[in-house]
Amino acid sequence: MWQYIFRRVLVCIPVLFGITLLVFGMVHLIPGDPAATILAQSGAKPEAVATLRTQLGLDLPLTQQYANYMRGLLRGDLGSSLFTYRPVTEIIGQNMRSTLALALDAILLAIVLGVTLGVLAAVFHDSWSDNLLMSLAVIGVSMPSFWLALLLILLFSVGLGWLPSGGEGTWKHMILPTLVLGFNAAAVIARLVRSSMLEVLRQEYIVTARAKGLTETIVIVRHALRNSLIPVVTVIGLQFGFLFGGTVVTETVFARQGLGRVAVDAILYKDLPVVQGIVLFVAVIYMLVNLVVDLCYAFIDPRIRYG
Amino acid sequence: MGNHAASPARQAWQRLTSKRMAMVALAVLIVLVLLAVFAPLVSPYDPLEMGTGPGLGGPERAHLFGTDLFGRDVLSRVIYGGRVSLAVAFAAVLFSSIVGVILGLAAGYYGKWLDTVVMRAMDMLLAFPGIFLALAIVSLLGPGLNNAVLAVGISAIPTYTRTVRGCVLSAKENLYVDAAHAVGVPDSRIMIRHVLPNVIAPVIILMTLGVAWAILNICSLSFLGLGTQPPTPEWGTMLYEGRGYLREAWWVTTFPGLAIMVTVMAVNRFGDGLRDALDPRLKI
Repeated sequence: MWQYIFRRVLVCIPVLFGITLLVFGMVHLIPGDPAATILAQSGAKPEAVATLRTQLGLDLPLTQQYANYMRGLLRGDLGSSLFTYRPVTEIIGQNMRSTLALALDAILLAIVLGVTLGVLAAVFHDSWSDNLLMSLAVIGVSMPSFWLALLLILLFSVGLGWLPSGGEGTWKHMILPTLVLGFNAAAVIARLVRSSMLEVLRQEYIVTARAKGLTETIVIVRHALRNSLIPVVTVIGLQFGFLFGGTVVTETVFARQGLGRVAVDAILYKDLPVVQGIVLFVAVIYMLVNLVVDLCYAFIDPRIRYG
Repeated sequence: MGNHAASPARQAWQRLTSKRMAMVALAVLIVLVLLAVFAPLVSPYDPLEMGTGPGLGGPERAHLFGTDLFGRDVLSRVIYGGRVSLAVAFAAVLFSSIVGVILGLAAGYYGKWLDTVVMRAMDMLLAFPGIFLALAIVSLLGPGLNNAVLAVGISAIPTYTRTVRGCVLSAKENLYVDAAHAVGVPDSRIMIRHVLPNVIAPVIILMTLGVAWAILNICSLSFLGLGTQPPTPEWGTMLYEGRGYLREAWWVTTFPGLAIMVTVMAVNRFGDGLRDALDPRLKI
């Protein structure tokens, strides 16, 4: 067990290295002179371009640049915004709470909704409720989140006036964004739980459990659900990543101040250090989530540890 | 000749046509593609023409889907928007599948250091979740339609590479590949004639489902103002433009949104049917 955990944590090191390499390399992947491209919109003079080049350290040799970048990273220095001059770590620190809260709420909703509906669909397999639930799931997978957001605003804010259409502060502000963000993931999880559950329900130990005279509820909850959740755990990690990406759209629609919105603004203004910082932060969070998921996996399914 | 002699492709086609849902989805897709191709003939107005009706006029006989802020006909814009959205989605999928297949084929076939380099590069791309990789790429190339296509295309490459590599690893163990080696067939010919046919089925399925994914992502980028720029009629951009006056005119955002959902749903349903028909064991 410990060996598995140790090995799994060890794998993170090259991944982390790769992430920093790619984020560092972003500047150099800009076609042409990065400094000139960044300042192209504002029609800056050549001197300003030269200053920016020095500011970004682009006049140094590549290896030196990477060494400087890594040294900064280890000290928790991600550079500063090219426009507001505020440190990137400060910008991330200020905006991450709102984004993480939204993402966590949405994934919780997705798990509860997805697992419940998936189990119901599997238990009532081939009935009208199964068909209805799965049609809903197909809609959930196919519906663009920004459109769902606009429809919900139209219904609950404009039409009924029950919920605010944007902003943040109270629990009421969380409802619509959480629904929008969690709906798609809930649909994916429901589809997976259903197919996984159907497969488990065909196993012999389920027949045995029923033959022993256990009630259907106990068979479903204790015997079938537990085993059918194993593949679901992996997907939850993956979905969390998608969800994190989805916050970009959700925060924009609902006018919430968070990492996603800051990222979009930074892209529009070509504020590269901010984009780099946020991309790095998101990738690291995603890596950690997947690490936790894999470790949970080992606890749930003992076969993994010896694999 | 009985059914036993039918080619695998024919058998797959028969399995596909027996699925009602997939066939309905295919019919919807054909209609959508035809609308996009013949947009100039079927749309009642020029999608860019302003003042075809009142600004923000509701649905009526002359404008079935209403008009937008500038009096442009929403129905015409939705039809033309399909042209843009479908074309760019196909372009993105074609790009990612070609690059992904080549990389996966090379990595799986040659193995060794090439495999390590390619697969680690793919791992690096996969470290950026969801739309974030596409966002990072757009941040480098700048907003715009072509760059959005490239960004969405690049972020889909790892899926193809990993799938193809896996198939190649098992396909190259076949005896006929050894035999081809033994008689001196060059590597490139072995890859194309003997290994590639083994990966075609999963790639076709990935490409179909990839179209749905690409439509959603490109529309998302456009909705954020990072993809197609106004006044080009594109579904994501139309939602972006229409959300400012959601209270006054629901039709401006509802119809392009519906168009995205119907298209993505049809593609997904058809893709599911295709997967079951081509290889029921595949879990993509």
